[in-house]
Amino acid sequence: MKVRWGILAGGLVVVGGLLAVLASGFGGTTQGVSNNLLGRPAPPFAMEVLGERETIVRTAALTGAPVVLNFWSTWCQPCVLEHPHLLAAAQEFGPRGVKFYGVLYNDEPQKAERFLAEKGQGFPVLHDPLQRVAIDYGVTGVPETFVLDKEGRIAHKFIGPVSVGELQAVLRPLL
Amino acid sequence: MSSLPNPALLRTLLLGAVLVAALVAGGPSVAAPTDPPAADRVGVASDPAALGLAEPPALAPPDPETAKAEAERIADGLRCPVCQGLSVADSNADAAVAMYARIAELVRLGYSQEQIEDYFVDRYGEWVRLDPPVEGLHWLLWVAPALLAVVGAAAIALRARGQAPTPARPPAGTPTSGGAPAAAASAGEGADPADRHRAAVLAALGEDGR
Repeated sequence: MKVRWGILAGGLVVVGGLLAVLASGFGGTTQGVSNNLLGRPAPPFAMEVLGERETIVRTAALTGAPVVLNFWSTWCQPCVLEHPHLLAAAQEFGPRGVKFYGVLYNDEPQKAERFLAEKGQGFPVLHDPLQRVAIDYGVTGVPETFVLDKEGRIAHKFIGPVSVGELQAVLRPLL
Repeated sequence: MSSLPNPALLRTLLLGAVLVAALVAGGPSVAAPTDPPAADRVGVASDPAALGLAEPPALAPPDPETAKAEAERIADGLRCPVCQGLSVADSNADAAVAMYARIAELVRLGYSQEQIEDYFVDRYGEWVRLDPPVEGLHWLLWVAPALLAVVGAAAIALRARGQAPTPARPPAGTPTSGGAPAAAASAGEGADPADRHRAAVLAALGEDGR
């Protein structure tokens, strides 16, 4: 059979190009592809502390110390798994000045209060009823954890459950 | 027993139909137009820096009707973060409803489509656009189909021209460029396989004594 080199070469160029595009796409993840907020000042917020309606935490008050901001909910199993890790990290880094806050994501405050009473609470949990703050931080699901440096910039973002070891690695250089 | 339908049943059916029609008409709208102004809520601030936006609104606050249409349009182009290929406007997921509320709020404050899209791209990456910009190697995805069509058409045209009978072609028996065998060489001078086939058929009919 006669080989038509011109057609073959043209086909290879087109197919090769498409494969290159696909290969570049397969390198990334489909969600949370980038977070342009990294290194930038954390979006400001003012949220009520769960169970203390009069207490409002504002970002303005958070500078001067690293902050761990953990978005979670009681219906999210990975959040349940990471809870003891967050408690341990808060126990280790709380006395060294790091402030820990949970942010309740798309959940009922009563359920969260029951959960914390049962599993232990090592830091305040803030209420974000309209998920306003979650959107400001680009949260796509829970759990997601943000670490802010002393200047209030976003130093790190964890997507999915976080362990004590991972938090230690990120927090130690920020102290 | 009467064959007429029960009037009570008819009334119920009619009411159901009206309700369904009303639901369908107002269906996908997930806006919360009764939200209080931004500055009145905890968790929300009114100045641009506190809103997490670098600039003040580019436009004057629109009237409610325009704002609703604009919010729908912007929500149509943004991806619901927890869905598979659904826009914020098309999804009823909590995250999409919250995003829609945020879009509607920013539109009401006078933020432009570009500013609002930039706000979401900053947080979720280019991925949040349902129609991402053509950059990098992505242009190939747009160009390749047209290129294939042009190359294919050219190949078909070239092939058709190569097979067309030409006066300069040598007579019977010479293989054509397509490599067709000279099976019907005895049928005469036609170089085209169809002509030769016709000649062969006529010859066969002739051999039958007709």
